[in-house]
Amino acid sequence: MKLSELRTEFEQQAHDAPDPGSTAAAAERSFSSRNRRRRGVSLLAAATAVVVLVGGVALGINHFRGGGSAPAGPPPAVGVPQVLLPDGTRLIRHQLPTITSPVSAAVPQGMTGAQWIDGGGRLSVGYFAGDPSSTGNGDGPASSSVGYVITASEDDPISVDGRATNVTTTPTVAGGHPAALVSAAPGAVDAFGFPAERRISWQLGDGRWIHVWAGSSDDPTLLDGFARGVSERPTALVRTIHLGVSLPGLTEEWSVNSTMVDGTTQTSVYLCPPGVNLFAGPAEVTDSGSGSAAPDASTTVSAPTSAPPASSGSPISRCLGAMIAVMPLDQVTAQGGFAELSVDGNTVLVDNQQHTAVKDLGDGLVAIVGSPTGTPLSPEDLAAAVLSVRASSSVVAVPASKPDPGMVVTERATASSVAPTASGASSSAAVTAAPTG
Amino acid sequence: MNLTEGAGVTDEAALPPDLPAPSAAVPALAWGRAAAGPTYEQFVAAELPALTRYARVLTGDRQAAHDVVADALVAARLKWNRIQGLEYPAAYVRRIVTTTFLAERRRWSTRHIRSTGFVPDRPTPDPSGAVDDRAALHMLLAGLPRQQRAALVLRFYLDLADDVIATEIGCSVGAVRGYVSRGLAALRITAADDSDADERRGASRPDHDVQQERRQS
Repeated sequence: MKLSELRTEFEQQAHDAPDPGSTAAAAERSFSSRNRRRRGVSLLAAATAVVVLVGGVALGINHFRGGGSAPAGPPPAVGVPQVLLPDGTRLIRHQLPTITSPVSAAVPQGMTGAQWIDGGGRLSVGYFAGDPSSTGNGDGPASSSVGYVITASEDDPISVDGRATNVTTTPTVAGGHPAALVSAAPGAVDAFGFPAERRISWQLGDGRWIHVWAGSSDDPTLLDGFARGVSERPTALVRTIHLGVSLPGLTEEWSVNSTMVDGTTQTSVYLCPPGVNLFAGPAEVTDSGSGSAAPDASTTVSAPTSAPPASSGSPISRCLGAMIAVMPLDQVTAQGGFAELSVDGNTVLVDNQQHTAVKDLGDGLVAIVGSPTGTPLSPEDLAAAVLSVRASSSVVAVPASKPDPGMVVTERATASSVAPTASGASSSAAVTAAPTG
Repeated sequence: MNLTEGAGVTDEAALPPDLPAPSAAVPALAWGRAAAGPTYEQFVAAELPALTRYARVLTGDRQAAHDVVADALVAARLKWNRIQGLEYPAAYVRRIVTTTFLAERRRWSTRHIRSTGFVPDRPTPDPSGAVDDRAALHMLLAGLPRQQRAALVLRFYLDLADDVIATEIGCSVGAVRGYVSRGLAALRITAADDSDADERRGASRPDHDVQQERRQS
């Protein structure tokens, strides 16, 4: 072999270099994430608006607190959408990065539902089991759930009914690690709304902290058993939603990935400018006026049509958001303001005033995209954005079987309102969402 | 990494600016020479394409290059106030890329081993032999120890002198020559093929012309 061939090989490899833009964006995300971790507690203290985040973050709380259903099987990866971008678009193609948990967990038998949330320096992973026939409103059979939260700081705010609560810490051992059993008042939840009445916490090798929790269950050994099965082995988490476009400068990601979607739980992703904290600001979702940061079984979330754009004052309004939700399309169109737009053989609904686009995915599922209020997109861009939304084939749509009479019907495009449950959704058994790719 | 570890980096003779020239939007005078130096954003805009190309060749893997450059940028940004005062910020950040690559063996093994579930196609011989040669070279390169690969890349991709390479990867000039020699041997390339070897093995030289060509490529 000749030296010239080596030089040629180097030159050819150089032509296959990674995209500088995406590399810079990855660095930016990493840098911002590092800064967030440094901010630690002060960041998390603003978590009273959790439910806010998206409907999605109000997420599967029902499933972790005594209701919900459980889809089965490991979630396959979501493909990278390739949509045609309109001429003169402000959108850029975007691939969401792989999110890795620093640990792997032995999931108890029967807990086949999975949900993970990443954002603001926190990573929450939960597993749940439940009866698909339960309503999700707290009156179904209790489901059991376990999970963990990874945080930068040992201190992780816990609240009851939106108010910070005291905790009692007792030394313990989990899987051979010195750990702490942290006990709080009944009904305590963490910043994402996951159960936090009893948690086992210890520091990981990378300096971060893990807080293992167990939800409602008759088995008192569930928490200890799950904590013992957690090992420091990085695990790539599979996304259940993918948004294939972005806007320049939106380098922060917040996402809720759930294998189950119903009237109160969505899977969603938000791309935001650096420094945006989706937990900051006034609570934008209330549960009949209690102002609780911790959604209980009666709490619902913003209507899917209103969640992505949000109110102009909320942090979400600065983000490009996408979600997949259970929402009959006629319920969307009944609200007015939407116009049909046909793009490349696909029909989407666009509300240019509310900067929102909706695409029917079938089986009761819709994809919804909202653009940042400060960077309103053209109808064509909104259409392209919503067409770039993909769901994992593992996403299961579970229509709620009963509406909650206590709900306050929302007004469209106000994220501070509470949505009705998907009462209009099909009451048939769970259906599997077909991948839209 | 402390700036003092970048000994030689601020020395123009020892470490010439081998990465791309600043874009037209960044006045050359301000680029790495003025007291204030470029902002981080200016630096990224001007130098990142070349850094990613270098990392791609250095790592031999696109994703790995992405990761290593991203990590290096974070490290650089954290101390940009100091880096921007250097004469050649690009050289310093390039060194961060190199040392990140050399230090990341364990992390990469966990990051990049993926089970795909697919069985690769059975290879068939290429009648011309060109593809086979390149594939063989690619495979041999991938099998080189990191120091050897880094030395070869710095030598034959960036055309740096041995003493500069020694500073870059933190070893002696003799060790660099050893890495290059053993690397070439592993690639089945004879030293005689390196027609300009003697020139490069001498004292360091700015290599401005060569670097300029690389910037433009």
